[in-house]
Amino acid sequence: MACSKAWTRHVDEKILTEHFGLANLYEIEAYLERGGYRAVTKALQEMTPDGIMDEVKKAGLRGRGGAGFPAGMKWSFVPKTSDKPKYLCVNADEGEPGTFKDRYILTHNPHLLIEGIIIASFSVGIHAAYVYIRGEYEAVAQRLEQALAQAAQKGYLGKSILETGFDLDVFVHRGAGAYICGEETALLESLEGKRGHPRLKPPFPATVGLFQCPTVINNVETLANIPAIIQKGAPWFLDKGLAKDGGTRIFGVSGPVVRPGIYELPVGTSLREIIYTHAGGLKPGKKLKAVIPGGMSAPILKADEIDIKMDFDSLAGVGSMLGSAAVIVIDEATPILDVLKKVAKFYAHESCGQCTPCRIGTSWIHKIIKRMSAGHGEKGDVDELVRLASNIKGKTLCPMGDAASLPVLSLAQKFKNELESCLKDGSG
Amino acid sequence: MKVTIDGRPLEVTDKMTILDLARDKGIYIPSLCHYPGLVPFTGCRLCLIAVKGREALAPACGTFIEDGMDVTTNTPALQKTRRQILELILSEHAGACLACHDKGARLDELAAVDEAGPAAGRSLYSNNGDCEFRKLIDYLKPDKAQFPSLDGTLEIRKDDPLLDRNYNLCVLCGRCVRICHEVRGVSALAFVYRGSRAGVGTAFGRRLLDTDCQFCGACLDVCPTGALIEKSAHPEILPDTENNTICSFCGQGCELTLFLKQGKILRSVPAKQGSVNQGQACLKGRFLVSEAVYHRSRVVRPMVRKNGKLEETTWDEALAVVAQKLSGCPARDIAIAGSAHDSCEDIFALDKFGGEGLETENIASHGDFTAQARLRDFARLQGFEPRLNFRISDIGRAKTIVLFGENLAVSQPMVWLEVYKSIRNGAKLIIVGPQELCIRRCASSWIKLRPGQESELLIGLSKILSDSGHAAESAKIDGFAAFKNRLQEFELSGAAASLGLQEEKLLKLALLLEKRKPTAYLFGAEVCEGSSGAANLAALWNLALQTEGLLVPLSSESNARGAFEISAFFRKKDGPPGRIIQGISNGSFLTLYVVGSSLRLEKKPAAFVVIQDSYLNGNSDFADVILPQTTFAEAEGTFVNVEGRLQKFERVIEPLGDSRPGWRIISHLAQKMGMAGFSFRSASDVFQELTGRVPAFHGLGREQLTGGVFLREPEADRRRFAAAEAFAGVDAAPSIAAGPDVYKGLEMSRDIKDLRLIRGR
Repeated sequence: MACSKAWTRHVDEKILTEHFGLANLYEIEAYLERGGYRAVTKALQEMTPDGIMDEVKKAGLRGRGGAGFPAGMKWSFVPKTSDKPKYLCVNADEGEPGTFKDRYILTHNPHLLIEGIIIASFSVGIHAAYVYIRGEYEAVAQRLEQALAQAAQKGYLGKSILETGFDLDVFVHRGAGAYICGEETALLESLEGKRGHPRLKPPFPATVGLFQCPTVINNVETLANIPAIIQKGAPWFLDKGLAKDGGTRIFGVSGPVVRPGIYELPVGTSLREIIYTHAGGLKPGKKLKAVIPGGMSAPILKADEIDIKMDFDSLAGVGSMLGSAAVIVIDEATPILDVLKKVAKFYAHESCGQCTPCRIGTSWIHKIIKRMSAGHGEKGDVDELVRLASNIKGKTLCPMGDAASLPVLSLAQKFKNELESCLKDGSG
Repeated sequence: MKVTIDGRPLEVTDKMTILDLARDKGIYIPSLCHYPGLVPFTGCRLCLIAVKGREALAPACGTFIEDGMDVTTNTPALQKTRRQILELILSEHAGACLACHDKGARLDELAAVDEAGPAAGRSLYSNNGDCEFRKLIDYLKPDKAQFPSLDGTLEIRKDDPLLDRNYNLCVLCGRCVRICHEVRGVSALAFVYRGSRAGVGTAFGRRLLDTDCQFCGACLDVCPTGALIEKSAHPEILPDTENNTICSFCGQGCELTLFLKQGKILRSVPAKQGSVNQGQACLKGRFLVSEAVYHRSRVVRPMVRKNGKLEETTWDEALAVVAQKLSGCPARDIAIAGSAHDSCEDIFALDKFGGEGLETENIASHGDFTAQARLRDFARLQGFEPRLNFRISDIGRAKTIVLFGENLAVSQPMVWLEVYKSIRNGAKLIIVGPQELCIRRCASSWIKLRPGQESELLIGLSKILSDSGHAAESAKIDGFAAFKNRLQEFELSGAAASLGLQEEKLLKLALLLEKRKPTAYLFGAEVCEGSSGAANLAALWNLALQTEGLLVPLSSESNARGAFEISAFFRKKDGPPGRIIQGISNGSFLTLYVVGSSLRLEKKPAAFVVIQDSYLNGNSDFADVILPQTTFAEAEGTFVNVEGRLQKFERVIEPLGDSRPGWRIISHLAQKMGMAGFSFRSASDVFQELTGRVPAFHGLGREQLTGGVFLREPEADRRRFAAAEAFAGVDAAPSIAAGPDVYKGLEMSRDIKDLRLIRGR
């Protein structure tokens, strides 16, 4: 966690959102004008697949979907000697509440993602990539389809890209609205046409993935970082970060702040800076109560805990997580019970139903919170919530169990007094 | 690999899960969703165990053994976790079941529930009174219900035949969903909705009847609660005895467990250890046994026609009438039509009676019309000796399976399960035939052709293969040069045109067979009969030689192979087996003795007709005497299944009424006629003589028949390509092409002007 880098970075140096101001960046002509597809040209014509993988490893690029697994490492797990085809799945099932970063990339700069897909596929030896995009993103999916068609027309996709003999087809697949399909193995099941249920691991997707073949699954933002790493080099990328990992993150700030929206900032920017400098602080008359720092499943931070670097390790150090870097700001006027109710309702609705503790546990959590919210909370209800949530945590097949229990646990522990004051006996 | 479970050092060689190993060693780990043979689901989380060095608890059912693992399965902390999970499940379980483990209160409780109204219904009990979930509750002993139980909010689905679905009792273990998909290949049941509404159901909530459900009952047999319940089950009528037997409804010989109460069959389930079926059955074996045994058309008293009316009488009188008629009739005017559904003992007694007692040559055996009989007849005419025995599991070794016409899922469900398993493991299925079958969705291609065109397709494939670079292997086999020579005359383009296929498609198919060896060819009688039968068999034989193919002749009668082996032994001269059937149909015989109902009579076929059968049916109208025969449940005996596996079955219930086993009827008749050699006192006596005389049964002891032994067959010859003449369109094999369509159980096709009748199953 120790970081030797000086706190001197110009925060306006962007990787992903640099040209977002342009109205037609999603058109390939505009993208090419801005130096687009040069990274693909460089990667395919000047670099070897292994060279690319090494560069990505050295860049310290960690997965932007939530778990933060090093991207280069993930690629290297795909067996080199396999007679089966290999696949790339792009996780664009952006379902974590509070998260809206991939949507911006896909809408404003889809070619950046396509470039990333081509380079990653070339590096791993993949000839078919699937973009699994959440069902609600209909317009986004259309825009991506259009960008793919343009790329294919210019010869960046299809047979023998840039006359290098490397073939790649990219397919867009739209989900049907289940949160669980953002979990990588459930995503694979869904892509295969089955119900989105997580798979038992091992075997991991790198060896047995889509259609039983070796598969790489990367988040949209992760792949969108690849072209810059190829063009400017791993040291430059690594240096962008203010923590151990490299690059920037797109922080999606929501809640009662002056300027909610996305902010691309170096990994490791402090949470206080994000909220007060970039998002303009809280709206007049509002006072900060708490922040959920990495999407709804991240444990909550209280107002006095926001002097924290926003990188995976720092947040893990205080018992929370960076997740999808979706910063949800909560002000004093918002009762914690309301937050809890939203959280509980979401997970009770989205549990896939496979594991008992998650399926029934989340629904009981939701029922108890509804009862508390209606003013019928009984003594011991908060403890019951903790008991139920601890029985889910770590006891399910996929990380959804943890995602559902961690916010409940952190809310119930950090705001125990406030919650107990809602109970019949507690309110006096 | 060395592992430690609860301090016990264990050694493992195979890849297996912790749960399988623990169960194997007698260490109990509770589990709901685990079921042997299904892919681990790890959903119920009751089997969570602690592995040293791992932070999170691991599900024993989905964690494979690794070397050096140190596993703890039973600590107070683990039991507490499990108990908490069980409490969650109980909170969604119907309230009445909470009192259910208190056995004394159980029936009262149920009575109370009965009165409670439609929300609860009568379905609040488990299958066979054997509730796995209750056993779990007994083991984990949750102290009190932590949560109020959410009772009976879902409507009980009673709109299907044979089974009800009460999802108020469902614990979402997913066993039914998984067995339906993974083992049966049907997927009629699936998970529906998500979150707290998650459940099991059909597509769009339809009735099972409106889905692909085959009513095999596999879901019922794996359900650990009373969520799925047989309509015929009743909480107060529990079986007192269970006995295993061999199902006689088709040729596969599944082992069934019959549940009895006071000597009466309640229902049947597939035996878990059945050597053919391994815990699976089909609609017939699973639901129809008691229906068939106690059917209202059963005939249980001997009957004699008096003044044009069939009247019940005694055995003495009935047998005396038959004996008198038979004695007074010249042997050449007597015909006997046997059944391939009878036991070996019944068939042996009948054939011996006809061949040695009456000395008639007119014994038609149902078994002579099966694919196996045809294959052997064909091969012997060519001078080969084919192999007829196989194991269903042999099919699983094939990488390409070619299936001719049969709808396996219906006609040979257990063979189909093996084929489906191979498909899941990557094998390709090619269906050849005129009809679109429901199993087509599992096939990689369907070659649609008219009946009789099979040989054209097969020879076309042979030609492509013989010209390819990989023909070197085939060239080592005798007769290849002549075969290849003959193939020169064959025009691929012409065949493709007549089959309505692109030549490209034929080339692709040939490539598949060449690349994905070994192959298996599954065919029924339909392929082997008629004017094209011999040519089809020759083409099949040769193509199989080129592609390391296994020839699998399929028959649908419970004892087809036994019937033809025994009848071949008694047959005095070779000749088309269709001759006798033709004769019967033409009314050439004076006296006719018919066993079973596979021969369908449309008019009175002879002056005097004896019918030995278990049921009254259309044939009874022409009978002068009816001799009531037992069904398989009331007799002991042996069957030879489609694989050539000889299996014995024991008597499960007393014979109904005065009905008698076939061999006993014949013995009494023979004795009445003063014949020697029929003093059999038991089926074992008949079996003993049978094994002493019929070569295929030589030396097979009845005692060693648990799990079945295979019939003896002559050593198969060195492999050789079939003679060129065989596919010149000459019908070298015995044929009943011109014969009547009387064996209704057989698949046949016949030309009616320009139309062809296809007997599908």
